[in-house]
Amino acid sequence: MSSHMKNGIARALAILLCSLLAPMAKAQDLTLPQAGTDPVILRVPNGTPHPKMLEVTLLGADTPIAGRYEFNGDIIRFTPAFGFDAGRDYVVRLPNDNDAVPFRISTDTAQLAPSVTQIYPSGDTLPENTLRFYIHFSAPMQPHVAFDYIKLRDASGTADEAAFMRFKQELWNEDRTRLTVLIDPGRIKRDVATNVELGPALLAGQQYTLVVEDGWLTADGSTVLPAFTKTFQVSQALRSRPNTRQWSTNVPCVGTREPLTVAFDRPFDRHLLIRSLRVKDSEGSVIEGKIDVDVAEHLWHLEPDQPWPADGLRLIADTTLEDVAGNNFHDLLDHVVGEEESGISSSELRISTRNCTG
Amino acid sequence: MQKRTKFTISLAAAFTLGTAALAETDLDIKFAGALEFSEDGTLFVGDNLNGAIYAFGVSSDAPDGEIAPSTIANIDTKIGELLGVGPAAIQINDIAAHPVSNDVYISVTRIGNLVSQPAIVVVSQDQSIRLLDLSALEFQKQALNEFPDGEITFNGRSGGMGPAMPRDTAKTAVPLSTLAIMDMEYYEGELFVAGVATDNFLSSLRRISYPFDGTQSITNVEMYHIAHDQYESRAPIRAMSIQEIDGEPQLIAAYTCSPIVLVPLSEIEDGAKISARTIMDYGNGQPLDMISYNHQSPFGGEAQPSLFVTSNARSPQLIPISGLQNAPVVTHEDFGRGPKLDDNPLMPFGPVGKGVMFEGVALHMDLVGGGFFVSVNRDAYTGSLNLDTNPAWFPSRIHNLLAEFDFPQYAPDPSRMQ
Repeated sequence: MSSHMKNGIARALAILLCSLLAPMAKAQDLTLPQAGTDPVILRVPNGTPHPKMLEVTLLGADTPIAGRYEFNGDIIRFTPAFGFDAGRDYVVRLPNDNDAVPFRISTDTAQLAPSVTQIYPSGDTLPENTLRFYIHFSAPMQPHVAFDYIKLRDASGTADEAAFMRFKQELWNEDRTRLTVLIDPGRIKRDVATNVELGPALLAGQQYTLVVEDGWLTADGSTVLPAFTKTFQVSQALRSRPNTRQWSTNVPCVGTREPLTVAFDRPFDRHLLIRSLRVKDSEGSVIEGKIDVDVAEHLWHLEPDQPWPADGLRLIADTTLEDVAGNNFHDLLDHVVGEEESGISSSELRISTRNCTG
Repeated sequence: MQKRTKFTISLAAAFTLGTAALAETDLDIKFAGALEFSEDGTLFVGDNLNGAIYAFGVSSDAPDGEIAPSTIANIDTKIGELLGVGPAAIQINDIAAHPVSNDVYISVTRIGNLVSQPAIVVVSQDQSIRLLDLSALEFQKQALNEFPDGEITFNGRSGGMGPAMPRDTAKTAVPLSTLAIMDMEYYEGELFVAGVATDNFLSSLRRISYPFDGTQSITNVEMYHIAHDQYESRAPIRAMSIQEIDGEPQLIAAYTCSPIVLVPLSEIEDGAKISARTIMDYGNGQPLDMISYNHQSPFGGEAQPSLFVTSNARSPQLIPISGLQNAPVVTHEDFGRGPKLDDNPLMPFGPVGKGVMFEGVALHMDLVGGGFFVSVNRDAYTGSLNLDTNPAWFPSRIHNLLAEFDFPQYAPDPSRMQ
């Protein structure tokens, strides 16, 4: 038998086998999912339903997506193990239908445009050696593309492509609504390669704009973040360790729940502040209460759950608390070689109270 | 008792898992990290987020196809397609070959839009790939005590002169708890677990009886590190094996930069702080896997019980176990003081065996069927991530080599052959 004939027979057999496998399954017998948790449903009018009759892949992929197949009469239901993601492109492959059927999940919930809700440090003036920015979003955002959208522009609008440190993994919080962005420490630390080569990313006396450009998709792919900008002036670098001796407080009234306010000499890291400062009583017990930070991370408030006791109150800072330039009570982020400071700077402060009765 | 549909377990597995200690809860695994099999096909999975080890019954009665050299190129893309995401959203955490079926189990993190989820993917010897339905399996869970809280992160430092560069400070975002379960070794009804615990037990060895009955012990391990010239009790054991050494079962453990130490199992007692016995240092780098097997050269000679130790920074090391018997134990008093780089005349030190060829980096490796190594490796030229199976006596890919043999004119000269 010639190889040509053999091929012909093989092809005829393959076509026969295919038509036996999926006698009539066509696109019109297909029910596509409307939500991420919906199955793909195929009706097979003639023949025995089989998983091979209904395969779902990512657009352009070879390997079918893993999931659960259920059979009920002439119906096949496929539910993917990890659900379908809104905004992602999928294809249903039907064995006897050359046209793969594409689909995409749209979200049926009312769509609010996402927004940048806050950027920390929140001040209009930031030190030259500012290390960390926190960008808060109203909705979870798509990962791995942050630096396509986040730019640092100088007053003339020129973007500094090397301003930010690029980790292999972006630094998101768990629900992907807060991104931590670091100015490349190599640009901040004096006399380090990129600092020498490119100079600091931020220069005292200049104005910069942190831009989140238009077009970033939310995690579910359904909506697009509009542009957001934060313009700030740059002041001299912070080159001393934090020290509680340079902080001041009000003097709350004993027996009241009047908030204690601590004023700092410099802006601190917003998120570290929330967890790094505690007030303890004379017994060493933590005074519980509502903590708040404002005035561009220069003020910290504690409204105690219980009225203030008479005396013995101390404010205690975790010595790993960092100012916006990454300096903590142990060390500076960047110190001149040979000028390493030793010990820990003062991290406690006595809180006075006053008697306000009568 | 946990009872699930769709999974029929063998009698042996049913006996093993059908104990009173079986978890009464739903499966709550958050991270699939380190993997280890018992001889009969119980799969242990380390969860560094929950601080627990899960044991799944995946017993098998027969080999699942003949083992042959194979390659699946871009295994990360393939796993991504299976799990419905792109390769950038796939993180491969470990692999282990099933002792009976020879299927390769791969622990994966699927980085989704909103959450990261664990998955275990199985590649059969016929190269087919499937998702293991964990929810359909019988399981036991053992929560670990002294588990790090996930809040404390590593310090950044530079490798040489000068301050830390950006690449060095990325570590400061990594919690210590990611090293909580580094390697697991199942040995005679017990699971030995190396990793980081809290406070005084940073570098720890846990000893957990299996089937899990709630009992576990934890031991702090200190060892003399030749290359660093210091005693270390924080950095954990990276890879380990249990062998009969000097007449008793001992744990052979490899640490970063890269001492190998012995710990007699009899010393691993709850609450103890023990000093491991340093016997060698095969050079700087981070050990990844330690595989125990019989090394058989294709050119004859007796098979030698050996260890195959992979590293992220150097060739795999083939260490004959015979060299570990009666090996002299060293301390700081045996060397001149000071750190020792690879160029130091003293290095490598001890019965280190030989560095052997492996192109690219074997990021995860296991023995399959006794005579083959399966590895997830990164190609040196293209950077592609591949799942390769190759004979244990020569586990490397040679596709990037152009040697004498590859020339069309090549013909051995019979007159010069022996």
